Amino acid sequence: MSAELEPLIAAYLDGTLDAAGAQILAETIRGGGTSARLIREHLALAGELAQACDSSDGATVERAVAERMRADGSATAFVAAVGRGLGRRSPRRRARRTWPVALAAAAVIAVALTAWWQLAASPDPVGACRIVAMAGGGAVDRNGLAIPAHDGQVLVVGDHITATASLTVSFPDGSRIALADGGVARVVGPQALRLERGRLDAEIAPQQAEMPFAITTPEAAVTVLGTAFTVVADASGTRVDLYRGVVQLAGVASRAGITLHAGDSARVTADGTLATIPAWRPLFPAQLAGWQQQHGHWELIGGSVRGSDPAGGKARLLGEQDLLDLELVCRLRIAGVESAELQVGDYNWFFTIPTTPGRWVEVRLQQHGETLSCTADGLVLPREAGDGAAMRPGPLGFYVAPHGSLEITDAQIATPAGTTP
Amino acid sequence: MEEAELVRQARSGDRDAFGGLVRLHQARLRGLAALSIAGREDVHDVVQESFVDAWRGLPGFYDEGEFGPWLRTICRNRVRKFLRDRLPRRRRELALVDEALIAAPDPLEDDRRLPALRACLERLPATQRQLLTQRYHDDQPVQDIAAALGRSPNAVSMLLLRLRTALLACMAERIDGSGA
Repeated sequence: MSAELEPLIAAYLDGTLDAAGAQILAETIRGGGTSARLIREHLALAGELAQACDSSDGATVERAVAERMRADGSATAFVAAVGRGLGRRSPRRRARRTWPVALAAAAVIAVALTAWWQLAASPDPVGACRIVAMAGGGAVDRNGLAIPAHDGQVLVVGDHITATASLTVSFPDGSRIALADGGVARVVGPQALRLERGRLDAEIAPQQAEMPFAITTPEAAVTVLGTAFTVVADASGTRVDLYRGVVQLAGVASRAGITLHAGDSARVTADGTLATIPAWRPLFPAQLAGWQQQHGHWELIGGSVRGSDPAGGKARLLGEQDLLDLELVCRLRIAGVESAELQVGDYNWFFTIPTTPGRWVEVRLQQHGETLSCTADGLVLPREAGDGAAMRPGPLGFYVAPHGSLEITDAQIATPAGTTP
Repeated sequence: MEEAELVRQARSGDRDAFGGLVRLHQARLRGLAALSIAGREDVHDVVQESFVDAWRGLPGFYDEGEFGPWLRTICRNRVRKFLRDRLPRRRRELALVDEALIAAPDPLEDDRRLPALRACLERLPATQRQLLTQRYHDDQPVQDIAAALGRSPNAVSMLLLRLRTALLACMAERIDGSGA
């Protein structure tokens, strides 16, 4: 562990620490234990070395303190003298001369109150961070005190934001970050946000090369020079989808880094493994090339696929490419029956997609080796055994029972390079 | 004069007595501040502010026997304030680590550290002591030191890391030995 930390400690002390390294050091310090102590030891030693090499023997401090005390005493004496001077005046004379003093005092108090108010309202440049749009509720936790979030609310460094619906934060440079329902984030700086969990969509204003915007999660650090992207942090890791521009993505645990360009996606797991996910692309190419109409009749109309059996039998559309690693998103609409099936690995496993006839259901499927999951409108569906064999590569399939019809639209897939469904 | 007597006299406005308290505690306070602040000048400033705070707070302080712990609490608060105040001026990456340090407890307070460090420094070759002085006392950037030595900044950075690691081991050895 120390071998990994030591270069980061050195970079911190030299002022050259990068975003991923900072994330690791900060997390390690927060985690406590021997690794945190090692960091503290090195940082403390740097300060102690300055003192140990200092030959001034404390005289500088003593002189400075004495001067400060004299200045302090002079100010006190001055105030006391003014008070005594006022006290010596005759009542009549004091009555005549007091109003300018009162006026001056009022002015001083007004200036002080204004300064205090401005300082309290914007303690630092991050004071310009604020909540600019809310669709529902949310909360801001500041120093352990949770208060309801509201439009226009100023945020400061350290604020934890919890979105119970969509909530958008604007930054001083014009960057905007929308935190989705259930998301939790912390303002780390005027150009930095930490996503603890959930999803955010970012529109980052152009940044200076030496001061990029940074978004961190428990697993990853994304540094940005101006772009639009999505970050999702969940139990399985962190996913980044980049729509425009260029970002640097780094794994916290592994310190591996990668540059993402427009259209790229990547995932970072808790152990720091970093893998690119090819860009989303339409699931169905023209003329349903690469798909086999095994049962019924299937046609592609205006980007949507519709299948049924005119004779009243079942309908099944089967891919021709064996897959074991994919992500799929689409919307399904079923008619005539109450469910359809999304089949994986050539009916090795399948998911029953429930629906109310006539209504669109959003389906998300992920398969990464042995890991297979599917949601319908956000609800996790149970995995069902088709032929029940061990997970193996196989084609995707869409199935609808006799007398039913199935429509598939907005279907996008991401698979490793070189494979198509 | 005993510390408690110095405190009593300082509380009644005796600046010389307070000067005695400064002499008595400044090294320990510098050691405490240096645990969290690397810059020599910054440490001096924080320690000065701590003493001035103590001077101003003395009229309300009555537990003469607890002056040292009270002063160290003032200093810890000053250190945290210093670290918080500089956050907006720091590079974001450094500020992220600073934030974690501010929130973390101070587990390293031990009066034996600085004497142990001075003793360990004596055992180093002069060239290595010079390097440490340039970097940590004179606050010269690694790049400047590397240029003067004709080495790469990375090589200097790693050399400093090795020296710090060796010093920490030496300090632990001396402190463990003295504590046994």
